[in-house]
Amino acid sequence: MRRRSPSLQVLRWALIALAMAWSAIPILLVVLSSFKEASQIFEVPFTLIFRPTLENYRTLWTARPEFFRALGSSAIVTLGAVLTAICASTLAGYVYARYRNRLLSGTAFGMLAARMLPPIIITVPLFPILNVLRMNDTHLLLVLLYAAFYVSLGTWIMRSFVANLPIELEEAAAVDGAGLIAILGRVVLPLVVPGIITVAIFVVVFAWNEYVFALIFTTRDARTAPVVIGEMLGTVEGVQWGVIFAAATVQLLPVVTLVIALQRYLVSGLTAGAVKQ
Amino acid sequence: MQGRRGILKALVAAVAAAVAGPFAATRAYAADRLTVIGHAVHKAAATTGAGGDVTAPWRAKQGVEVEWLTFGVEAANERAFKEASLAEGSADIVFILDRYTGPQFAGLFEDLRAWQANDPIPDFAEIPAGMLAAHTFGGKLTAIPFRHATHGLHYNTEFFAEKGVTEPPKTVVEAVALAEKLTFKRADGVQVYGLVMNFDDPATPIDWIRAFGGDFITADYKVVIDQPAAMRGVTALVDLYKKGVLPKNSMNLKTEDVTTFMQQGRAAMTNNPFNRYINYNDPKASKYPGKIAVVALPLGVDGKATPAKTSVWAMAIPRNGRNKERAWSFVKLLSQPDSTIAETLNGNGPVRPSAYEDAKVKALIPYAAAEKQALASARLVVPGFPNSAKAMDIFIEELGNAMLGTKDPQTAMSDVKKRVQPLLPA
Amino acid sequence: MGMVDAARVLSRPRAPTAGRVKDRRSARLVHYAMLCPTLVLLLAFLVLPAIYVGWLSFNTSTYGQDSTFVGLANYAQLFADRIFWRAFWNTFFVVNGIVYVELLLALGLALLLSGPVPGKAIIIAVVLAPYAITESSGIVMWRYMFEPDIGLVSHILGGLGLGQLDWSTNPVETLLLASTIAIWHHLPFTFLILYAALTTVPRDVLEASEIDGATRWQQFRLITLRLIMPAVLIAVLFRYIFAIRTFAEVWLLTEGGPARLSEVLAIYLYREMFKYHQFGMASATGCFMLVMSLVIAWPYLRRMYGEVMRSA
Repeated sequence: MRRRSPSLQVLRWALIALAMAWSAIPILLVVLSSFKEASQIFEVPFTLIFRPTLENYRTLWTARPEFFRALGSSAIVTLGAVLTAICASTLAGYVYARYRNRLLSGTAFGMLAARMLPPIIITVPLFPILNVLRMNDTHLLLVLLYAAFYVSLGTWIMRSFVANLPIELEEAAAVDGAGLIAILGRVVLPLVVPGIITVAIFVVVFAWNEYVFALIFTTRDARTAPVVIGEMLGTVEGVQWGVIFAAATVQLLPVVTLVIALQRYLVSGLTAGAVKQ
Repeated sequence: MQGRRGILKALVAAVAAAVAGPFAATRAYAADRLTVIGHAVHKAAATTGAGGDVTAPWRAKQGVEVEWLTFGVEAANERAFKEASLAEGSADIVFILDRYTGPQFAGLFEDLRAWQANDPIPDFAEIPAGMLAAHTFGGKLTAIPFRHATHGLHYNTEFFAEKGVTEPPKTVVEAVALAEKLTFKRADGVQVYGLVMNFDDPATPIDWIRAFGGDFITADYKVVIDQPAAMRGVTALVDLYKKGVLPKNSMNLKTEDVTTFMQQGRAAMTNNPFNRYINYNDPKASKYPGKIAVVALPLGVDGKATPAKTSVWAMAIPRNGRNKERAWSFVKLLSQPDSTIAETLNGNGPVRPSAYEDAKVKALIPYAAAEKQALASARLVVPGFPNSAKAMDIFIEELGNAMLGTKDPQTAMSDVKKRVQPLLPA
Repeated sequence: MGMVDAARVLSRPRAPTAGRVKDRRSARLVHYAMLCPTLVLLLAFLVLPAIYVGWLSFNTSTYGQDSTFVGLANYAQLFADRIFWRAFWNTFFVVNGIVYVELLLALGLALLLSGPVPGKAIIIAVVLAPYAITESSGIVMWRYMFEPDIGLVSHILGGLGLGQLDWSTNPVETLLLASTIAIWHHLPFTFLILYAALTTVPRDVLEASEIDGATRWQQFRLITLRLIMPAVLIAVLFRYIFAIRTFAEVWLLTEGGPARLSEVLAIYLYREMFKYHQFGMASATGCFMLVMSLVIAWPYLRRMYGEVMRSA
């Protein structure tokens, strides 16, 4: 193992610290502000020392209880979208990685082109049609919609992960009598876990925070948390930033926790020397 | 790995159930409900506060629930139009703000003149003609006014006292001079601006332009922004900006930013809706609680009252609604004189001037008299026509050019006329 | 060990059998069936509505009225609008700036964090946090930090004698700040793709090359980069796709102002759709953005096609 010179190590840690500071400071400000009294949030000059208060959280709990119900909706939608997107992307990614013909290439690249139209404009035809189908304000609709938005990226990511696996592994399993499902489930799946985790994180973060489509397509039953936050921003009587930042903090926690939990699966299942020459 | 697979399967099953459940029982139209689309303030005005729940007796008598679907300002209007455009809608009543509606949407809603003739709202004549006009197109009355927000002049009495000023400015010329006087640095080094305005809404600058005797678009659709009277107002504003009386980032200040400015004591005056009084003086959010007073806008150069900008939320009944009789009954309920007073006590801006005379209202709202006075001469920002949103954007854009100095004010406003003229109704 | 041996090792782009296409068998029906979930979702929610939007761009349409066919009138109006072209160029520079700066930063960060690092879970969670927070809250905080005179950063800059970032009146500086915020917000996205890809680089190849005397830079350029190139291409491509839609960062700063000088195409579309309610014009803008994405991304699409077609 090449020895790492100490000065390079120091540089490395300095850069990591810089990256962490850059990422964290605005977020810390949001979180800190959620514990400030309303008059101190945007005060001049900015103060780091203040007396913390739970007032904003209390207000969120009492005045905006629908936020917590909305978090439940967000959870259902996010979970559903992740599962759907992962299943669809992994299956498709496998096919695109292992097989090749004109039709497959066409659809693979068509998938990319399909994502290039700004999504907001497709709400124009979707709203009336989904209304007729009685799908407005349902969790199912958001699940399918969010999954549809990320299967392109998901498929391409899974494709590249599967493509990196030596085909010998699958061939060996086939020789041992394993069918397609067994090959997928027992050979391929465990080895592409970092890809799945990557796609999962993208879909989770997207679905959890998505605002525009949730706003347009939900009314009450399936209203998600970002829509409630959005309504708090569009108020007529003056925006309560403290409460909004409290809501943003509450919304942030599950995702951060999830990411910490999933992080260790982001290592490749393919250990060095798995395939002997 | 097996244990995780089990958990995964359970998760999938749970999600499938949760997702399929609501889908199975989706928004079938409920005959026992009145569905209202609007903003949280409308729901609050009708149901919670010192005035009590206006809808309770009606609900008991009709035997129906009222379902309030509330959104942000823009979202509520968007949803209103979207629902009204469907073949079969599920909203019985929608609340619409005047700046989002227009003659091109008149076909989406019931003509309420017929309903009024059949089953009249008591004391209908009390509702100001201007407010009704905001929602009347081609003679068709599309919505009944419910709430108004009219501009007043808010000022920080503490700053005034510091500079030896005891009274709010009486005329616009005084106001401009006062704004210059009240631009200073506080003891702690923070800059105070004499005047702060939000430019996401053309109404705020147009208030001042009207005070100078000018206007943007007259009621008979003539563009007069490039005329001498209006130019006086425009140049006054540009001057104030150049002198630093208006904050440097004025062009991207929104209403909430102005609120923050006033709460943090970074500005001495602003023209904003009367009910901002509550925000500016909120002891939890403001550093100057109880110090910010509000009066009607200062008198114009002609000595007459300046027409303050007003915006009107109104209740419309979509044509594709399924129970319009019940909807009209509800509209009637909310528009009655006694309901209006109760709603005012709940924090609403009443469309009936008489509500300001009520003793309880006067006790609760310190600025009731001033708001009533302002209401008498209030006017919409622009008359309603299909391209009004675009016209307003053009005005703000060119005003920005004038303020930044990329164009001189006269050229900028002449450009406004050139670009807006083709957008006006023939 | 000399240069000849190193060349031999370094010339192997990847493990010998990874990624080889099964050309002995062709795709069976079951494989096409495996594509169905993905394709059906895309077709139903993206492709078919997109076709409608394409048709709508040749019409005038608003709430409550039937669409009227107007041919190319919308596009004519679009291309004649000075503001549209300003939005186009603003978008063009913002997009390219965002994509490449973010790529370099993300790659650097991913390389920094690859390999064993104590506390990696927390570090990665912090690095991913900007992506996880609600967009509007993050942007409002950035705005507050850069508020002229009183913001935290403005204060520091002023104290250091560097002047203020005049983002509220100078469109170039507005877009600079908006791009910075966009990079801050989306860096985790690119980082994640590259980081995950880096984990698939087999250690043994790197170690073998090290034994053969390859320098760090040679290792990176000839082995690592080649192995993660598909991931880099995906990251760049999708970053382009997302960057062209940049909306909130500019909207929450200046709403495209002052005087619509900092407007970007997504804001232009938003105005047509939600302020003027002109769905035909909005559709035309959207279709233009689609074509623009295709044109900008074309070199990357071609490269990806090459990667996909190439067997090991």
